[in-house]
Amino acid sequence: MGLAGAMLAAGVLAPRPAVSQAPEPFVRDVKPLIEKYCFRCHGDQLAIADLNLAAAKSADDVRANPSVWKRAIDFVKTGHMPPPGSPQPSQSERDRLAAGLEAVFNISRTTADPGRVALRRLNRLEHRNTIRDLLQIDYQTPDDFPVDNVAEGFDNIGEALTISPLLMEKYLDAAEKAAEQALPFAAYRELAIGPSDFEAAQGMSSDNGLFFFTNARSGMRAATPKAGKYELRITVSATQAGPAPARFAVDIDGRRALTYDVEGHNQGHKVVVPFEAQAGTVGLVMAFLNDYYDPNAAVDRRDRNLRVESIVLAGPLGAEDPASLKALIPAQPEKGQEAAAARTTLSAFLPRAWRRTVSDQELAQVLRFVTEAVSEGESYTQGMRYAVTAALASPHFIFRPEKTQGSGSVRDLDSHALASRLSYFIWSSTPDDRLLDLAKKGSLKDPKVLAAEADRMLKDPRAADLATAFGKNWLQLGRLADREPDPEVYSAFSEEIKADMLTETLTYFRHVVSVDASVMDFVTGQYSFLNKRLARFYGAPLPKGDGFEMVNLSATPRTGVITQGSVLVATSNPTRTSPVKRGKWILEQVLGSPPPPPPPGADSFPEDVKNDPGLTFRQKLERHRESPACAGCHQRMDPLGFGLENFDGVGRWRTEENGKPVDVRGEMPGGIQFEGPMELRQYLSTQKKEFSETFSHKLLTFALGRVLRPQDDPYVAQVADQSLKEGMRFSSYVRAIVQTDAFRKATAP
Amino acid sequence: MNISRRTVLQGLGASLALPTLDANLGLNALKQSAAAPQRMAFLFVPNGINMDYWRPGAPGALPELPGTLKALDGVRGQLNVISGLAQDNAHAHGDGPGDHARSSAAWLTGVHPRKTKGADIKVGVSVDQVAAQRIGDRTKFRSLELGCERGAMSGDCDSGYSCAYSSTISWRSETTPNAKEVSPRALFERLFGDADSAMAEQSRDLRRRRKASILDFVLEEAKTLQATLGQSDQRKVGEYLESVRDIESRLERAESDLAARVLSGATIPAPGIPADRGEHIRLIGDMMVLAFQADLTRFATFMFANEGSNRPYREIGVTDGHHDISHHGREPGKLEDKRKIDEFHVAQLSYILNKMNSIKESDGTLLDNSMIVFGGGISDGNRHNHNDLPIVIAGKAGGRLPGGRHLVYPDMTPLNNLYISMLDWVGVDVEDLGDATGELKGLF
Repeated sequence: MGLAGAMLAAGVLAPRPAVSQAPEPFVRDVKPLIEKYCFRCHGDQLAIADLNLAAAKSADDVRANPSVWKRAIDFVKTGHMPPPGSPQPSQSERDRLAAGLEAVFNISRTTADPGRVALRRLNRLEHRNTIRDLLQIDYQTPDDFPVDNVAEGFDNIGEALTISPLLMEKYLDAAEKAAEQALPFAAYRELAIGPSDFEAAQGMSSDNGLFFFTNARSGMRAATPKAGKYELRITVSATQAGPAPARFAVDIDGRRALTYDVEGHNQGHKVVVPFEAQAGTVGLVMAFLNDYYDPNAAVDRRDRNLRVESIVLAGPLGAEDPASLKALIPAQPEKGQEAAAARTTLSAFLPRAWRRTVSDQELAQVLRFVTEAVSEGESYTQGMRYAVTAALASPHFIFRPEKTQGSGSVRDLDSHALASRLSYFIWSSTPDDRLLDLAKKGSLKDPKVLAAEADRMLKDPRAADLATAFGKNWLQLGRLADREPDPEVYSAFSEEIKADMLTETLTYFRHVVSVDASVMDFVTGQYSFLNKRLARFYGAPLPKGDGFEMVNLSATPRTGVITQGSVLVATSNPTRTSPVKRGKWILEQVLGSPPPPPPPGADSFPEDVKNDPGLTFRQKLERHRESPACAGCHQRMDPLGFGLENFDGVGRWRTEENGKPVDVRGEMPGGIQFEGPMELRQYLSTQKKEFSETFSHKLLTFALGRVLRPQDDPYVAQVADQSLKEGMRFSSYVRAIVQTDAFRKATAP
Repeated sequence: MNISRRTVLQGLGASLALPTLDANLGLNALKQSAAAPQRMAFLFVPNGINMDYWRPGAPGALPELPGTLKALDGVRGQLNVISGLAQDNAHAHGDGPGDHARSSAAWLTGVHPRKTKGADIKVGVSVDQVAAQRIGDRTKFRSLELGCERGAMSGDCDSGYSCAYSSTISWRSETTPNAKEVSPRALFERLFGDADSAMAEQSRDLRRRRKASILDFVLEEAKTLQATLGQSDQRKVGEYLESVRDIESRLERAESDLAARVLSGATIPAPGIPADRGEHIRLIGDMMVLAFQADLTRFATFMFANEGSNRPYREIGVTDGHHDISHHGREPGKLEDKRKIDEFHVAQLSYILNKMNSIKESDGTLLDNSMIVFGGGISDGNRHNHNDLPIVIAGKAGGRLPGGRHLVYPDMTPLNNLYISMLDWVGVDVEDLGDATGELKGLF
């Protein structure tokens, strides 16, 4: 909806009080012009495209049908209605007609209201980021999560985000897996190895410890779950005979790790054998090396034997616990202290997980998972896992319920709701401690604080996800994945190139955010981010290093994201370019003036035109445009697309197609002409207001997570206007949005 | 990779709820109920069909199958080709272009979808869900929703229609599409539990009880939350509640030892999505057949591709996109490519049907005890017409449905009439189902 932008351009934005006069200005000044120029095709007699403008008898009728009339204003102002060949209004008539219709809608502006955002659930990206930031783990939402439904191009629209049992199952599994990942069982353990764990061997028995009565050795394999330092703690004793003490040996994985003289008679010695092990198992061998028997000696000096009384395998030693474990279990509580310890931890964790304050009763319910588990003999860590799983499967985690305050028809959002709106807008993630703190204090209600926080958050690395969460959806790059250019036509194209193209555009987007550039760079920037492979593919200047680097393109005909491969491929057919798709893309994503869907039967060429081999594609399109039902939209779409015809279906530069020079001339309604991408760039650079409007509209839709309504036009205009004044910097749009009533308030239910 | 019985039992255990597990697992005498379960599946292909190679000649007996359907010859006696059916609500009726989106939205609902690319999607409850909601509680899964392509990631998939319409044929309610599973491995684990899990028996039992109490907890939370919300938000939490209840009731339904036996001969699919579409369809098909065989579900929908899909089929030498080809303009090359794709899909269907037919049950084969619909919501991809739809139905409906016939109905006979008859077979009596006007006469 570039309409509000168009209104700005005409300077008629300032709200005006509704004044009723007789006859109303619409009937007096506007209706006669509509009668004169429009009724011929859109009246009671003939209603091309099912459009009868004569049905509007009053300004109220016009207001009742905003989608039709706002498009009409657009069409009149851009000069593509009435179509060529029909009587044309003078420029002053045109201005009066447009301004008069705009005035009708200006009155409705006083009824602007912030509306309500449908209960939002976390989408896939938000779910991943939230768990990652909440638990401080490197978490990936599994690939088999169902795709989030999209509305108006965005996948964070509350109303469109449904829940099915399949998704709920995935949420549950994910909660469980995340809890396990965040709370690994402590790696260190002390494993008691009993005599029966050893292989039987001649000369020994395992009835009472590992008892060696002749020279013998016995082995076993023990698990070392993680690589690291371990130690064997062995208690060993002997009976003595002959001149030397009993000699005991330990082999670890075939290497002698210990030789030890066991002195004294039946006297326990504690020995420690340190060793390093890889994750897996380790071979342990206990051996008695110097049996001695003298039947003639005194009874207590007659027989030298060895007894290994106990073995404990301890380790890994000094293994670092992950941050998540430290945060959730700072120390293993003493027996009987589990409930108190869990209460302390959960009373800090739950408000972060649910992004709000949590009542004692709610805390008690989650705490129960720990106490029940412990009382039934499970470990404290396992109990905490259940608690974390329950918190992450709860509707308070998966949804973002928003509370309001006050009692009027328009109410302030509760400050915790504001914290979440901010963080899911800029980070696609959960509020950090600072935001929750500000929410608790109530200071987020101050629009200045909101704007300052937005600035802080944009500088945080988490803001990089704006590129995928917002940028990719705005630019409709999801379609790129489905595009498969025909290898016979475009042999140089590959999946690698396709992936590079997406990286190029996402890097470009992140750059604009991180240096806070003007958003006009998306349209007219003469630089990009390329690796060598993509630069060679484009025939652009090569970057110095191996990765993606900023490359100056001012000596090339490329402009903003419009001529990046991602956009050009996404708007092409497998075997050829599509000037129509490209033109439509510019109208929708840049100029904010989307064409209506084609009328029935108009979505392909007539048979005679289609099958005429003498016509070029461009000529076929021109014939198509001769039909009045098609002209309206194609007059605007096609020329923009023709301006990009120097780029083939995979985004490479070309000057010829099938041996003929490519025709890159375009003429917009109203006589604006351009030839080739540089003149198209020149034309688009004059469309700042329209673009500011479009960008504001898209970004506001994303920020709110709802489809915008006509009552939102004032907010869009406010954001576009304010940002234009601030030089169209990316941050100015974000600051302006978070300060609107649409962002900060909600209409009472 | 083959899995051992031990792994199987472990996997099964992980998905069971009741502490009475041991009594249910393999220790009981193996018994099978006298009457085999009644299954219905709806297998969907997009972009119409090259009808020249699909349509059999005269009505009546079907001594020979037409070109595209040749691969089904082995099950011809359990097959009916049905001509003349229509899904009229897929036609524009004043809504302009968007035949692709409308055709998949209407295919199992018989309802005209609301034209929107926004959030207010609306069509109707689909036939599989009518059955699942009425009698799906007899099995662990009320129904399965399967596919090969995830939803597209853009808002507008066809001339102003939300992508939900072209990536879904199963609708729980008129506003809630059912997400589908496209990963064979994830589907396997969903059906039979985590194959890698090697948890000790007693701790598994404990986990099951904990899981049940977590579900109880979140159910209560959701109810409390719901009470504080406005009407439309209540509906959102309602979806959550319904989904949790569905999982809960599944945990409560311990499966028979049949599942363990079925699984003992099964192969665990590798993780990831096979690049070869044929392999992908067959793997998902394997899982569907396993689920039927083990009586884990009785109702399934399976989209071989999303409606309007423009995937090339390089496996069979088709390099242009399927959707582009379907707008053939009577060009011989495109018509031939379209025929090839149709034939390819039918070959995968043949694999699935033959597999079902190879599984003996107390009374005939698994296929005999099923009704499997295969087809789409567009007849000719070039004309986008939604009458004279390509529909075959396989299976003998437990002996009620004769086979080897070409049934021809008057033009514009509602496809939903077929669904009414199918629902009647499984014992679900419905008054209204989309635009149905009654049973499909002469079917049984």
